[in-house]
Amino acid sequence: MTAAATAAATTTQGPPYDAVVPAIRTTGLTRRFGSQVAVSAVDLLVPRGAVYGFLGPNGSGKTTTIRMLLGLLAADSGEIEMLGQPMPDALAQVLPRVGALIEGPAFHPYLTGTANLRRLDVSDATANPATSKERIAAALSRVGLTAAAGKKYRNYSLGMKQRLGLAAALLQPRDLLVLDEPTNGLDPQGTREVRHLVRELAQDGATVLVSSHLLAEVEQIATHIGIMSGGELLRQGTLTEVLSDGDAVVTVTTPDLGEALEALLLLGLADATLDREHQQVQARLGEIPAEAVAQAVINAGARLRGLTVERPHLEDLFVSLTGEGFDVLR
Amino acid sequence: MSFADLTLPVVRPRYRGAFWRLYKGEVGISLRRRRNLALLAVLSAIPLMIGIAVYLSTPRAGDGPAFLGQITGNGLFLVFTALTVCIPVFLPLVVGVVSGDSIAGEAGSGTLRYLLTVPVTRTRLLVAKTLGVATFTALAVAVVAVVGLVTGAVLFGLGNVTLLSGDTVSLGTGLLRALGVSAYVMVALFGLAAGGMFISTLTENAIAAMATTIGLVMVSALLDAVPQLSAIHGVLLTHNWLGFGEFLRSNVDTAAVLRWSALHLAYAAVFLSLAWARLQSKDVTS
Amino acid sequence: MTTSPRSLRRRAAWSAPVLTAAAIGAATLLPSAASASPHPKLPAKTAAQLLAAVQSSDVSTLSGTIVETARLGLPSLPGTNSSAALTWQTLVSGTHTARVWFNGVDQQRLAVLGQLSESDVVHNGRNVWTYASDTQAVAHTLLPANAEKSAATSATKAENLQKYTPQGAAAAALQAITPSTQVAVDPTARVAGQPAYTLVLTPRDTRSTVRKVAIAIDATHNVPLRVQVFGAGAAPAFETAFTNISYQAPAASVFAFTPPSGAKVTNDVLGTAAQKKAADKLGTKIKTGTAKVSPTVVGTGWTSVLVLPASTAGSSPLSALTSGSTSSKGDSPTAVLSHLTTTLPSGDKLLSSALINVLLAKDGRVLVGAVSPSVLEQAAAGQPG
Repeated sequence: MTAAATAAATTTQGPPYDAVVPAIRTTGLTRRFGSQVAVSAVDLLVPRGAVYGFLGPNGSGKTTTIRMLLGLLAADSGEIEMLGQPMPDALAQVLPRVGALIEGPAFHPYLTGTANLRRLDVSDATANPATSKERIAAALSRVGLTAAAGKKYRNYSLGMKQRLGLAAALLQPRDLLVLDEPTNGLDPQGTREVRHLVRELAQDGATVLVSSHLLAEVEQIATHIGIMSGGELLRQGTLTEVLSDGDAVVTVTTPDLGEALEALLLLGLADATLDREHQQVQARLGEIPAEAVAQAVINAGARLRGLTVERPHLEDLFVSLTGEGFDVLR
Repeated sequence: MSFADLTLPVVRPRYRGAFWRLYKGEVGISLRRRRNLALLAVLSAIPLMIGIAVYLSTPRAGDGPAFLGQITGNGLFLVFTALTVCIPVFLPLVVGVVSGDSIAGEAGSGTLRYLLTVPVTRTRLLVAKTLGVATFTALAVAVVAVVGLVTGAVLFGLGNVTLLSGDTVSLGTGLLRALGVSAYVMVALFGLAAGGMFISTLTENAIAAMATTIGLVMVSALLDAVPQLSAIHGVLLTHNWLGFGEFLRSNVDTAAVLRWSALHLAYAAVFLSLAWARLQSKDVTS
Repeated sequence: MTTSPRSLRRRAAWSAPVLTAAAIGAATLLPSAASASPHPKLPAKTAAQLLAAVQSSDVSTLSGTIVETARLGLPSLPGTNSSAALTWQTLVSGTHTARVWFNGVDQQRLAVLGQLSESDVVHNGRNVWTYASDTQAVAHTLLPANAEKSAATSATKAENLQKYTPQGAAAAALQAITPSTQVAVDPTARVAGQPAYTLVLTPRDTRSTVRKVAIAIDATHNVPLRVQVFGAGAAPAFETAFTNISYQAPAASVFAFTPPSGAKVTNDVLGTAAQKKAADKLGTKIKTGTAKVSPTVVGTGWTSVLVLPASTAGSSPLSALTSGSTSSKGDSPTAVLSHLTTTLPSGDKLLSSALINVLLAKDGRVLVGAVSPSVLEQAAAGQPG
């Protein structure tokens, strides 16, 4: 992007980029509304360069957490560090590097898309007024809104409004993007585009925090996930780490059920069950590699007709953690 | 972009004139809003209508609002008549709408959260909004005065000005005094505008904030009309609004004008510091 | 929870308006407190010395603002506060402001201020101009050529207007000093920024509703600055005082009055043949009884009662009550007054205020005095107390 190049060219040398410093780190973040605890001692950790899928049913405290990160809500206790700096104290230095889409887009209905973006751009002290026009045009084109740029916001469809919100987050080169439900209201084509956009941003080196109810999508693009429920962060880590928490299940198909079961138990697999009808033995895999199970079954003298390992889906994990499916309104 | 672009400095440079751009953006938005333009149109219609009414039927001295009888002799008096007519209701209405909407409107539509995450710090936002509201207030008063002056000049011509004291001054001095009158009205309404801004930080419902601000004027006017409360009349928000009459006396009591203006500005200072405190501690949940 | 950073930050933010309000309060109150707290330590003076000093005061130039306040306990009458017109209603209710300029005996100006109106009286040499912005009416009186005589005969307007100045009011109050009055001097007042002696007159006769009259006199310039008449309440029932005063000669332009072009000017020349004729006519009228019977005064000193005969009072709004007629308009002065009167056993009606009591006798007479109602009743019954 030319705007980024310009900005880079006009800047002085800042402190060196430190990949070890996480993009977001909170410790003991807590917020109450009256007697209700909306966010309870959340230790969020979003590493640099990650695409962090922030999951949780409605009312789980995701949005409250995001609002605290961005300085819209004050925390009752706990600390927030964003891009290596304390928040909200360093808000004015940190937020220019952060693009945000919070709980859907919000713009002035009587202004055009371009005018709305210009309004935000002139409000940003770190935005170069000389490149404002180009950057607005680039942001609009990046979300595919160039054709509707001159239309009044009130005439936008839900999807167009969502795209304009994304464009606002992309007015400046960002080190961190906080996208709350970015695909809300988008058609499948738009959803695919957003997925592509997030990947692109991540490839450029930006850290992205995406909260989404589309689990499949988060699975596709996220490198890390965090799952919230009832104001608590239940699980957090890389996608593989979190998914492996829910144990894989190995299924051995053999007519010699007794031998197979004995072999599995000898290996130390837990929760072994017999399914005589389908001639199958099932057990939780745990730390044992699948090939070791195959070897053990054969060594036990059973005729191995099939062996499958099933890892749980994010959704199963989610339901097992939160006790409910997605989009359950409280 | 490549990963190397993330060596962008941790502190982004700020461009010069950033506050001026923010302020201009505020004013620009208020002037592009159809509702605000309609308010200005209504205000400009008032001197126009008074002028035409006087042109069609010459009133006698002592009839109607102050200065009405003098308009036929000198169009400049249309400025004073129009301001006298507008200051109890129409101008406070306009100021109430614009100031009441200032923060609550943005909070209600959700644009406040995007402004704050741009980021515009809350103090900066309040200062820019205050200047924006002050600009619109001044503009509203100027619209009444200028339309009054032009209408009066076209229909009745301009000439030497007879002051309230019966002395006559030149047109130039009269115009200067009209400028003083307008400036005083602007300062007086700024106290109200600040009140509206404070109320605007209390709610996300812009209509409620506007109504409360206008209610503030009515309560003050009501208290001002109760003789048993004469002890507090002097410090009421609206009590000295008609003090602009001082500019139309032969010997302007500058001390009194400054004292009243100081009261308006004291109201503004208290209201704005309240607005600041409220905005600082406000949870933006919309 | 009270010690969470959020509530701490919140508390810190709210200290800003508190400090702002405190700063404004301090800026407003401190200067007045500073000027008021150290009471001026003036050398002791007797009342006689004080009065002599006033008599010999050589101040001939001053300008200032006078505020007159009446707290008679009567409701404010409709439409009287914003007007600059000098009528009986304006002086019995609310607060009124006037500005005065004096430059010797030949030049004075009085401006009674309304919110968007003004009534002016300008005396400059032989010319007396009056102007009312409400009606834009100009009246011009040409005084006789003799300057000394003019000072004496400008009585009608100049004296009328002086009644509302502290000087005039002080003179009137001093006249009332009789053995019936206790006189004291308090050297600790400050009025319009000037250290002042206060002459306190206390009636010995308890039948008077006047509790005391306080006249503040500038210690340096010997000019009366404030007159307060105390009735039943703690605050003075009637007060007229300078709120600011300057003893410098006003600019000459203040007294130069040119009637606005287009204004209707009524001209009047004092001491001319035409006027003499008018005065003679009036005299004849009085002799033949066609003129209204003049009011009489019953009693002396603090307990004087003014008796308005029925024919004089007939046209006043007060007497409308005695004949039982009430206006249909709810807000007319008559209607307002009818709410305030109480009917006495004798059938007379009494209008009571903090200072003045008015008896509306059955026979149409109206008795007015700063006295208790019983004195009025006695006067009505022909037994002057």
